[in-house]
Formats: sequence, C-alpha cells, structure tokens
Amino acid sequence: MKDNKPEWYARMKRGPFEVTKFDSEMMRKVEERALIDRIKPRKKRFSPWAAAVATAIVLIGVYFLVPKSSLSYPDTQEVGAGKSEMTAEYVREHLKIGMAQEDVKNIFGNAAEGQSVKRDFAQPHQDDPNDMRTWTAVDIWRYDYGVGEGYSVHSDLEKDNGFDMPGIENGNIESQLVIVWKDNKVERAFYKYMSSKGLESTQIGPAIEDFPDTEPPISDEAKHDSEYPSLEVRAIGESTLGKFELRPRKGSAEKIQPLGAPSCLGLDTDLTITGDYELFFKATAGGESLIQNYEALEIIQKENKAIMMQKFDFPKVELYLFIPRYTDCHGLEFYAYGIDKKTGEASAFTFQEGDNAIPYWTTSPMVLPTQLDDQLVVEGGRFAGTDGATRYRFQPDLNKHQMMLEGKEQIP
Amino acid sequence: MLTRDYLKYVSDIPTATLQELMEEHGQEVWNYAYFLTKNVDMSDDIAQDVFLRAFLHIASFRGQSTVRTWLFSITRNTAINYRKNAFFRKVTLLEWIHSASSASSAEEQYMSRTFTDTIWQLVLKLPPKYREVLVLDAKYELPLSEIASLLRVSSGTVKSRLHRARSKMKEFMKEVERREG
Repeated sequence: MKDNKPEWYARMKRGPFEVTKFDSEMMRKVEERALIDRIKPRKKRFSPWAAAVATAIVLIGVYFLVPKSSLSYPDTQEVGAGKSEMTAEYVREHLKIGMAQEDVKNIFGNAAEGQSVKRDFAQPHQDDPNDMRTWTAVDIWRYDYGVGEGYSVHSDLEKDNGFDMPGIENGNIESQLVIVWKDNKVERAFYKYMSSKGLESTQIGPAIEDFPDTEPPISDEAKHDSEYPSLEVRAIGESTLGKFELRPRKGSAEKIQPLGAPSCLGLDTDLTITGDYELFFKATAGGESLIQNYEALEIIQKENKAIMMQKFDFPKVELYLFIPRYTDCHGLEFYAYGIDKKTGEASAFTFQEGDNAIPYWTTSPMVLPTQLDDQLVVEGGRFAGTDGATRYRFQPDLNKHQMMLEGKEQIP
Repeated sequence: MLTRDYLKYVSDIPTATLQELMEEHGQEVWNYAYFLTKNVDMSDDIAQDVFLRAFLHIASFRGQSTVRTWLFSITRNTAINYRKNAFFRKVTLLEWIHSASSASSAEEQYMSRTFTDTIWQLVLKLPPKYREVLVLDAKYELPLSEIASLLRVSSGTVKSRLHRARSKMKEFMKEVERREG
C-alpha cells in the first residue's frame, strides 16, 4: 500500500497520558500473584485418560487418608452464615472446565442452588458460545458465601446471570460462585466478590484456558476464497437512462469471507467482502464513464450476489443510493449517485453539511432513507445512551451534484 | 528497547525478568488495554492479568513475533474476555449512559486533562475497531501484516479500517478547527 502517513501521526508518538498508569504498585501485585503461583505445583497437560486415571487415584487416596470433613471446601456448614473462606485464587486453582458435577461437589460442597432457563427466540437464532444471553438453555449452580444473618438471596438469571448483585454490593453476601453447565460438565464459571477496590470478578472459561497462540492464525480467508468467487459486478443501479455497475478494480479480486461470529454487524454466516472498486455508468445511449473509485471498501451482505442500489425519482434527477452493509450496530454509510433526466449524464452526489461536502451520509439500519415529495428523508443512526436520533431532509441539487440539507429535526 | 529473544527458549520467567518486562512494556500494555476498553479500572485489571498470564504461559512464546506483539495479543484476548463477560457489558453500558446523559463523566474529564495532546480526545472518539487499528499503526508503528495477525483479519481489512480511521480523524480535526474558528 502506498502509505503516506498523515502529519498528525507525529502527535500520537507521545502519550496518551503524561503520567504512568501502570505503576510500581501494580507491578508488586503481579509479582505477588506470580509468586503464589510459583509455589504451587506446576500444572502438566495430561491426556484426558491419564488425567481421569490420575484424578481417580488421587480421589481414592484422599478418600481413605483424609477425614471426610475436610474433603469439601468450604465445609458446607460454613456456607450461608458468617465469614466465608472462599477466594478467587481457590476458585481459579480448583475449578476446571469439563469437571463433572460429582467432582465439583467434592471440592465446593453440596450447598449449591440450581437454576435453569430455556429461551425461545422469535427469529432464527444461533447460540454464541461466548454470550450466555444467546443460549437457548442455561443450566447453572450457584454457591453463596458469607451470607449475612437473616438475609435471603435473590438471584436473577435473566438480568444478572444468576448473581444477587444488590446482595454482593450491599455486603449481604460476601461472594458468589456461579457455575455454568453444559452436558453435565463445567462449561464456565464466574466468581464475584467485593474488595476494597469495589466489585471484583473472576471468570473461568474457555477463553481463559485457550491461551492465545503466539502467532495467531490468519483468518480463514485463503480457505474461503475459493468458496466465494469474486463477482464481476458487485452492485447495480438500473435505469432507463443507463446502468450503474460497481466492479472490482481491473486486475484485482474481492476478498470474501464469512463474518465468523454473530454481532450487530451481522450473522456469523454473513459475508465480509473487501476490495478496491470502480463505479461505472453505462449509458443507454452508448458509452461508459467512470463515476467513482473506492479504496478498500468493506461490504457486508447475507449472500455473495450483486447489491441492488435503491432508486428514488426526483423531478430533475434519478437518485441511486448504494449501501455497502445491510446492518450495523448504529448506522449505515451510504453513497448517492444521480442521473440527469434531461441529459442522461450520471455523477456522484456529495452531502452538504455546513461548508463541507461529505462523500457519504449515515442512515439508521432500521429505517432506511425514504422520499417525501422532492426531498430525501434520512433518519440518522442511534447510539447507546443517546435519546432519539436526528432526521435529515435533503434535496438534490443537480448543478452542484450535491444533496443539500434542507432541514433536520430531533426525533424520539 | 531491550530485546527478549532468549525468552523463546525458556519455560519459566525469573521474577527479575518479569519485573523488567513490566517496566519495559507495562505502560504500553496498560495504554493498549485503555484504548480497547476506555475504562481505567478495567485497564488496571487487564494489564496485571496480562503479565501474570505471560508469566504463566511463557512456554507458549515461540519467538515468532516480538515480545511486545505477543503481550498485545494477550492484552487483546484478555480485553475481549472482559468485554464478553456480561458484567463488563453491564458496567460499561451504565457508564456509557451516564456519560452520555451528563456530557462527559468526571473520569473522562480527569483523563482528558492528563492527555499529552488533545489529539487523543479525538482518537478516543473513534469507533473501537478504527481506534485500535489507528493506534497500532500510528502509535506503535506495527507493520500491516503484524496488525492483521494480531487482529486476526486480512491485511485488506486493516487497510480499509485504517483508511476510515484516518478519514474520520480528518473530519474530527476539521470540526475542531471550525469550532475554534
């Protein structure tokens, strides 16, 4: 890539902060934690069979050699009253992914509250293994430690993943351990408690166990390239006066791969399509003209097929909107192109904002642009924590090749 | 900057080396965590977790990337884990609502005052995926291929995001110029 770094890059060399945030106190804490780990026996990776045999031998040995009362920690008698001895370190050290329920009982006692929920999703749905709220079935055990005298625990599976957050925050419970089960094995767990720093949380889960590779594999791009061929025309805008065609730049191909994980950008099966493009207009009367170049454009669509531009019919101009992505967390960028009805000439339209000409505008993913008389009505994106959105009204100016902002209003 | 090539041959970091690693990369790791989360407490926790995990998993460092990129990789994974955690989502969402309703939170105002340059306020206004790629490029000067590898996306996507990040920064700067007249 020909990369001319902007001059303001120099301003980012220093900082962002004047003062050191990672201070000696933090280093000391890390060293303390490292030291605790160092004095523990080093973990070795065994095959599942070897681990099972070793666990069985240890458990049998412990069963015969150690008094029964010390088998579970903390003793179930201690749970639910007075100060508990449970710590995040103990949870991290003893609770392992894939443990059977019996093993967990042996270590953490029998005093767990079980909760489960099944959810029906209105739309086609796929569980995200990293997001419990997307699971169709959740099965948890909850251990309460250091519950104050006379306090009854109120947990909320839908709201707080089974934790009694007010209880912990108000000091009515010292800590809680929530274990998530899948197929009767520990899938992940959360341990929450209050410290002098405030609410603290420890997670035991696949993400912790799966330590990142030193060299993370490059995305499966190469693997998927062959599955999703680059198209000759990625977007089309059809008119009686001619046809817009968005094509990958000559000699280049699109890179197409599935999103891989569901998010507000789309489903995991949606396709991310990237490339350098050129937008051409093929006039019905003959001739072809280059209207716009796109560098490294990112498109997200459900299928590997050409996108149809949206057409709007204004008195003097036919307007076409190209929206590269079909959904987003907040707003979708879109580009506008016009065809002069009188001459049949096509051009890119910018958006007027004050003295600036903006090459694209942003629309709400839920309410796409509409036409009201001779105006294009665009509802802006909505952002978390903001009240409402802004609705913009634009009118195409054929002479300036620009969408002129005629008015805007705040909407709920 | 010290080189830590020999770390690829070890399975255990002596405490002294851990301290050196933290002294050398602690602030960078903390900064990166902050760019990802925009949350001071979370960055404190993530930075500490990163070095503890580096300490525990040094055997997985095979020297195919720099120590810094390896630490960034751990930082990123740790931050993602925190973000995927429902509690983090809740905390940050509440903070978002709070900060949106009262212009900017006391913490944000405090953090803004400690910036070395006002440009950081604009960087932090960028959407996370643009912010991250811009910081890795402009601040840490990571090669494109290394950014792609760290983010687990294609180089094309990095270029695309970088292009957009720079464009948005340009818009922000124009806006500032306009306001300041």
